[in-house]
Amino acid sequence: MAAAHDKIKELKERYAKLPVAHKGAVYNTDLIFHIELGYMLDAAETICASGLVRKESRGAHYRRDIPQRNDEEWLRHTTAVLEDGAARIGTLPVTITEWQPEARVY
Amino acid sequence: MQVTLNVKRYDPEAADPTACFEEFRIEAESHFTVLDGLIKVREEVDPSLAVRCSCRASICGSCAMRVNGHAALACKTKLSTSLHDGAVSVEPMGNQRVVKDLVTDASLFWGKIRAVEPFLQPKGPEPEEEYIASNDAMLNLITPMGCIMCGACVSDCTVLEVDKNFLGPAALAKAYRFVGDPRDEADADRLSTLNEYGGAWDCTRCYECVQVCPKGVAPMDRIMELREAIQRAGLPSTIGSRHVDSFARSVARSGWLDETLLAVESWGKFNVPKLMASAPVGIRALVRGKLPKGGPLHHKRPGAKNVERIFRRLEHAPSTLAAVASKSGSAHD
Ligand code: FES
Repeated sequence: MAAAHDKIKELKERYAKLPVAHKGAVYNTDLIFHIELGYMLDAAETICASGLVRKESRGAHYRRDIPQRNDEEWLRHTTAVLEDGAARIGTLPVTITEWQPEARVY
Repeated sequence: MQVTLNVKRYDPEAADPTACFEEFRIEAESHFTVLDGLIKVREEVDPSLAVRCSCRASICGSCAMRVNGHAALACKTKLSTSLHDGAVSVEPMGNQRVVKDLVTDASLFWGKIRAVEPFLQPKGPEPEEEYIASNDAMLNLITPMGCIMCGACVSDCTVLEVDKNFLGPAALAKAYRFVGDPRDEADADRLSTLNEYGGAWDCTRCYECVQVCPKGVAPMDRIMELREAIQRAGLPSTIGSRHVDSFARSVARSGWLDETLLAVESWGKFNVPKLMASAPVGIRALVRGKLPKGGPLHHKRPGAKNVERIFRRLEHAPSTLAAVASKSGSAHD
């Protein structure tokens, strides 16, 4: 995950220098894909950085080094804020209403 | 394999914005669809090529365009089987304004769909829970419900090409989807609108929409079912409906078509201006011995009795539209 995080960082640096080849103002998919790629890199970084911070396994977020769920410390939302071009990861408490969280066992 | 894509290009911002074909040669895998080929061109040769697509699995309806002259989903059309001497021609859809290259403006399409009020219009108090429809009653709607709104049928509609007022195949198939729905109770209004100019009678039955529809909706067949529903509902006759009636009457009576009477009865016996206008054609045909003997001079075919028997049997055959007919019938009772 750390390697992926580095790779995303590198891609973001390359992306910053990426030109848009087509300059048209009508149905310019070259421009649309360029913008989308930037958002995809942001989303990828968010996933990666949040995964690194969250030291447990929960649902689709699975870490081989920490396969256990940890409600004590991680029954929290992860937040990501774009700051100086990088994701700053934080957490927020979870409001539990009707459904009590429980382990997913099959 | 090496393939050539002849793509019709149009750039409204170009110095000379005339649409013309541009040739792209690419190396294509054998499994490529036409869309795969276009995407390869866009990614590796010319990023300015405008192509609209999304799912790449023939379900979103974004990628309709003309491949070798006929509308198709580019993502459902194999490149290898579309080649003629190693080349395929790709153009934007017809009947709609081209925005850029292969991208067309969908406003004509959606305008027509909107015009048929494509939503359920039940009457009476709202049920406590959902509106119930039996399985059987919905079976005849499976085909029109398969429409993914790609616009292929509208692109190749030969009537829309000459008359933009026509509702067109997609919208009429959509109209049928509600006329045929047991929960919808706006049939009387729907059918009387569809009986007007631009509606169900304007189709020339060219079959193009049936052929190009990637989802088997067979819009023309739905239009024919609408015509049947209109006639069963007893709405005012039109040139189209009189044509159908006259055709059937003539064949039932004599075993073949009385073409002269067909023309007279379709326009209406009392449509003097129209009949007068066509008189010169009739006289010229008569002089050259090409006017079929009509009316009382129209002879019965040998074996006409057998044809008559077929008609009698058909009258008692259950109609595919029985459910619709009884529904629209009750709306008029
Ligand atoms: S890309 Fe969705 S139908 Fe072709």
